[in-house]
Amino acid sequence: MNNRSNTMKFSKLTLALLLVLASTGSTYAIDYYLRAEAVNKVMPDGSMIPMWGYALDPDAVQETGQVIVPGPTLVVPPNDPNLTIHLKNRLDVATSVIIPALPQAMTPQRFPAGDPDYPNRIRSLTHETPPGNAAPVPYSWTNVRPGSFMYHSGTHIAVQVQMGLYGPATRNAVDGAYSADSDFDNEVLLFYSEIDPIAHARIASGNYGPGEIMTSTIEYKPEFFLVNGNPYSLGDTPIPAGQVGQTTLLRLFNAGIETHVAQLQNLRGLLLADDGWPDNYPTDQYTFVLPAGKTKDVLLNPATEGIVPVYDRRLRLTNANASPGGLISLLEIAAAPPAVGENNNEVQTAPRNVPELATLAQYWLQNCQGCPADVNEDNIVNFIDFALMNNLNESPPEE
Amino acid sequence: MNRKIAYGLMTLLALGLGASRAWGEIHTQFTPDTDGVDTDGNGDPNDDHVYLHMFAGDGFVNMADQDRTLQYMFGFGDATGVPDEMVMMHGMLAAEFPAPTIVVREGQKVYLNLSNVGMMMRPDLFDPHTIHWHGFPNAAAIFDGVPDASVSIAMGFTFTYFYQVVEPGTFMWHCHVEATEHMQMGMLGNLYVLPKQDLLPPGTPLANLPPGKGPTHQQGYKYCYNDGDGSTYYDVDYPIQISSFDPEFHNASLTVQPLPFALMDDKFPMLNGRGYPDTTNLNVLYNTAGDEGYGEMNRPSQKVSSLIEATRGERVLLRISSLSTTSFHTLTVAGIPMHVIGQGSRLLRGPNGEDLTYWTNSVNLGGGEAKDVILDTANIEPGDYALYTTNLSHLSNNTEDFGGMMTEIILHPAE
Amino acid sequence: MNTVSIRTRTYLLLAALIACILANAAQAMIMTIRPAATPGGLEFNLSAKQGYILTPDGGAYYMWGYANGDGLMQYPGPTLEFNQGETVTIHLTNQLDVPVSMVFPGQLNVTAGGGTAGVLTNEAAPAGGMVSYTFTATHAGTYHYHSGTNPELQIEMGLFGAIIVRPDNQPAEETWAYNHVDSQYDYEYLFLMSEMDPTIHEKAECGMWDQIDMNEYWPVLWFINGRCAPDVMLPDNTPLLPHQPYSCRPQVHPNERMLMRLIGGGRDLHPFHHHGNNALQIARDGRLLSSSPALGANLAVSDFTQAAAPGMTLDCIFTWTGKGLGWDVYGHEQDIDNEPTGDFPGPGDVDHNENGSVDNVDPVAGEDMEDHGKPFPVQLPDNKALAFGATYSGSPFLGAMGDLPPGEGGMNMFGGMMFMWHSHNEKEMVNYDIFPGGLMTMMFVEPPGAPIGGAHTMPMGQ
Ligand SMILES: [Cu+2]
Ligand SMILES: [Cu+2]
Repeated sequence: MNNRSNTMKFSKLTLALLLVLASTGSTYAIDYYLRAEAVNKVMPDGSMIPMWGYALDPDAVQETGQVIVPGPTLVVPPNDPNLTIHLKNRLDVATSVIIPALPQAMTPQRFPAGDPDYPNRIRSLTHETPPGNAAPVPYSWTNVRPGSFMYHSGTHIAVQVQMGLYGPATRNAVDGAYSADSDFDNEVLLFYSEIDPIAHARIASGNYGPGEIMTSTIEYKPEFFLVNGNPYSLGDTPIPAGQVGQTTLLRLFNAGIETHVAQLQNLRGLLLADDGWPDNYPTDQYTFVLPAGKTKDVLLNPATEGIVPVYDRRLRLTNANASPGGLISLLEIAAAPPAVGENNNEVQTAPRNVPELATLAQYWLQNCQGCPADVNEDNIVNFIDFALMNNLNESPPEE
Repeated sequence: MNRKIAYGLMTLLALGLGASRAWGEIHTQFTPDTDGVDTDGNGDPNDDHVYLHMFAGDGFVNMADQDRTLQYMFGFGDATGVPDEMVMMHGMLAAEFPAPTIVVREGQKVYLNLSNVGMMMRPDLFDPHTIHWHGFPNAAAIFDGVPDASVSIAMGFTFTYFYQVVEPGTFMWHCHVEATEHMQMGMLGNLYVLPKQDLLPPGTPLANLPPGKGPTHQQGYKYCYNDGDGSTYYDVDYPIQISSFDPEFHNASLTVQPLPFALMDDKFPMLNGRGYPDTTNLNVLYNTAGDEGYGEMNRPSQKVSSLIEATRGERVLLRISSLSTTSFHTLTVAGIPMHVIGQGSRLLRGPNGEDLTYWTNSVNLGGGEAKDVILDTANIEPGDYALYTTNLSHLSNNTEDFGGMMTEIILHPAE
Repeated sequence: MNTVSIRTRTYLLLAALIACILANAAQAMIMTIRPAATPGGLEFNLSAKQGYILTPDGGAYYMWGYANGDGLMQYPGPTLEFNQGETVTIHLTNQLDVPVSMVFPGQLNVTAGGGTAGVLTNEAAPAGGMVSYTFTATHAGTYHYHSGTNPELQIEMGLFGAIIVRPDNQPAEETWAYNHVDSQYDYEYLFLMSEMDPTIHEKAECGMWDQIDMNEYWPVLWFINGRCAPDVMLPDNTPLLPHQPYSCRPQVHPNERMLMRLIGGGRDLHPFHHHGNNALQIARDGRLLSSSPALGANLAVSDFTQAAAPGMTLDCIFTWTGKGLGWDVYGHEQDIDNEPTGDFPGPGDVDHNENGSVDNVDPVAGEDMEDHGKPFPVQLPDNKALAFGATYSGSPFLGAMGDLPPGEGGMNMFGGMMFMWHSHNEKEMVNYDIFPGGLMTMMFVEPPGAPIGGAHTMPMGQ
């Protein structure tokens, strides 16, 4: 997902869909089937990092989704703010999922009073999903407000979040990011995270815990710094981020343990929101402080085409000390379309009708590997669901 | 009496500061309120002066790990009400972490006496101490506690700080002598000022009281600031102070080794002087110093619990400050949003009434920052929640997992 | 100040003594470079060079820095000054043996000419390569620049500096930071913060590039304007620190407005705590905190600690009056010869200035009249019970000098009040293992009428 520009089209598309559904009186609640599982990630220097990630499965039964870090973008539709994550656990340890920035009834799980190491202490901020569970364990949020959110493990968070159990969740208002004032044409997610290879190796190999080589994460020392799951490598393709005359919503996430500061170069942005809470007075800035766990939304309105670098002013710009790398993203702002094509915007952002969706779906089904079986041209609802989960664009995804 | 202590006392005696003579030097000051003006607005014109007496010395605290790691510290303790001649003895190895919480009201005049009782475990040191009321508006250097810019009090003597309290809000206090060392060693605590608005005549209209509380002020209503509209109303408040210890530094201090300033790296992240799960213990914690041969008894040294309790529907004011000497920390409550209503001891409001408060789910504080956060529990399901740092590696008591900078919030169901 | 008391005489005499060494006291207090304007705009000539800086712990560290023309390498680089609306071109000549560049965060439409494309911008080739950057400053404010080439190493090595853009619409008689009176100031000071891990510099000096591990980064030195405390107190351009020309000596009179230009120049956040009073943060990243131009800085926030993030700039207005102390901060109507009694006048009190009232002195401008004449509230302990600070005047009163034991105090000529301004991550107040030092300075509230020293805008040498 590193090189993909997610566009507003799908939320508008969803809007269209919902209008259709509303007219037929259907109810529509968004359900995501996530599976926590170990996965290896290859870093630019060739090192293989054992991680824990999430896969997006089509339903409660099939386990066909690919395990990725960060996890899939969970889009909550504008008109239906109820979200349920159905979690399967294919790790060796209990896990769970929380969205800290959303109100959620917590049911913490504690170590037993007689535990020799951590008596009575909270080990999980909410109910757990045991390893190997057959039926997914639901985690539900009602009335999800518009915004950018992070979901991550709520169990043994010092270890499990660091291992990669995190991902973005977003919801738009019907008329913009938060309201008509924050309407946007394009959307870019930059999701920061970090890897401490020593901790990963020890945790994955069972050398972490009481009596083991590593007993806490206090000596945290990250070596890799990821944007959307990958550190920057020289020659990375710039991320399409809209065009002159249009607005782009930049959603910033920091799943790392350190504070990062996203600095824009050659462009400024309007800081709209913090943890999915819109600011009363958006401010015009070029640095955006991202403490651990923070999300921020920034509205870009570029006046000139070209490359806009976004990088960590904490200077985590290396891959295991090799430069350049780390938290560098290059946003590509396209030129404004010719004056005669002024209508393009409207064409692109207008709500689509169902036949259009069907065409799009057909295109996707021909090009999509791993599409759930019930995603087909006869089942447009499932397709939209799938598209939303995966932030599909018209152009094929880049792997 | 163990040998180290005896040595400490001998040194004090040799300096002429011991026994009756030195203790006679402890001389606190207080001027009774006779001006006939009710400056704090509580209806009594004769009770606006506040007498406080703190001592500065050393002591021990235990960390929250299962091993109860004992840490040597410099710190403050409360000697208010202790006869002057008893203060040296009272303060011996009796420092607390954090320092006693100071709560005063806008309009009061505070005579804050500081007695330096010396560091029993470090008879080689003759460090003076000070009190810095961090954030005091329009401070005068003489009462600001910066030793470089004023004076600091030597061992065996007392300095009286005076503060006419004009600003409500969340501040903090700490020693400013050799600040990196004395603060790392533990000379810091909570300090906040209650606003006069708490004492409004009942029936005063306030436009933005919480639902069900309006439209007028009632006896017992509490506010963080003089907001004029009730928007900073709270039911319960908790000071939450971020701090952290580097055990290498504390051990070096105890064993009179060179202090590792450059290598300072905190391994015991804490809230109100305790790591998790001690943060949730409502009791005063006694240290194990006596058991380990430092002094004759285990002393009550960690008195501030961070367990937060409220009933659904209540507004919980968290007076969050940081006096970490090493790094920024971010605090969150998973599942409960934060409404930041003040920072730097001021209400977040523009000159034309602009609402500069903001909602968020985490606050990031460096040392010396304070933020006032209200948790509105009206739409929160009853249950247990965690307040913790998102710098997740600091959820450790050094090498022990499931600890560190975290506490719990118990939200009881409404009756 | 039109009042003379026995105390004020003391400092007026001192003022006369040092008047000769202070010039242009009302000038800008930040040393900058500003070339002459030409029809095509301003042209700065900078070079990237190596050199050594000095730290109070006795260290000398190998650095890379920007220099003004052929001048010495500087840490930080020269503070560039120009006006809103002016087009500036910065010609950079690289005298290092690695590629180097400049980026200008917060500025729009920066075009690069020459050099070769790097990851973030065009770079000047090693050993004599050149590159130019051109942009028009659309807004007034505080900004910074830094190397866009391997910034994690090159910023650490010293390749960054400050930019001040003056507003285009301030009244002739006033100094504003932005185009609104809310940004009016009497004095301005720069606080460009950074930190350093000396091991990187030692390895760089020896060319041991493969030994440098940025993930082991461990700063032990902290700077304001390229100097560690107490060196910040040395004058601008002191010959003692040839590569560190910028001081940080904030001074202000009561009731005057000080503009603090804060910049996170390094890679860490620093909680900058300014003793004495809250300050109003009026701008961030070079934009007034404002919901509409007519309303000025109506989104400004008051705080006692400013969280300076790397890359970010903050402008704050600081004012100190002593209001609300509950005692007369000038010590009016108090007997300087006797301990305050709380029931002034007492037996033995003297009318020093023979104005018919025992030590009665007229109020001063900006004084809190509520407190005029109110006695000092407590008795100070005997000197034997006290340790004295180097910048303590010996008196709790502003503008007064008191008796100090021999060898104590002294760094306070006018009876000012000193306040420590510092990183409140207190670890950053050391130089290596030596306390005090680091990211710290002393701010002087000088009594009314006392001179305030300063620097000048230097004309560019070429
Ligand atoms: Cu102290
Ligand atoms: Cu402080």
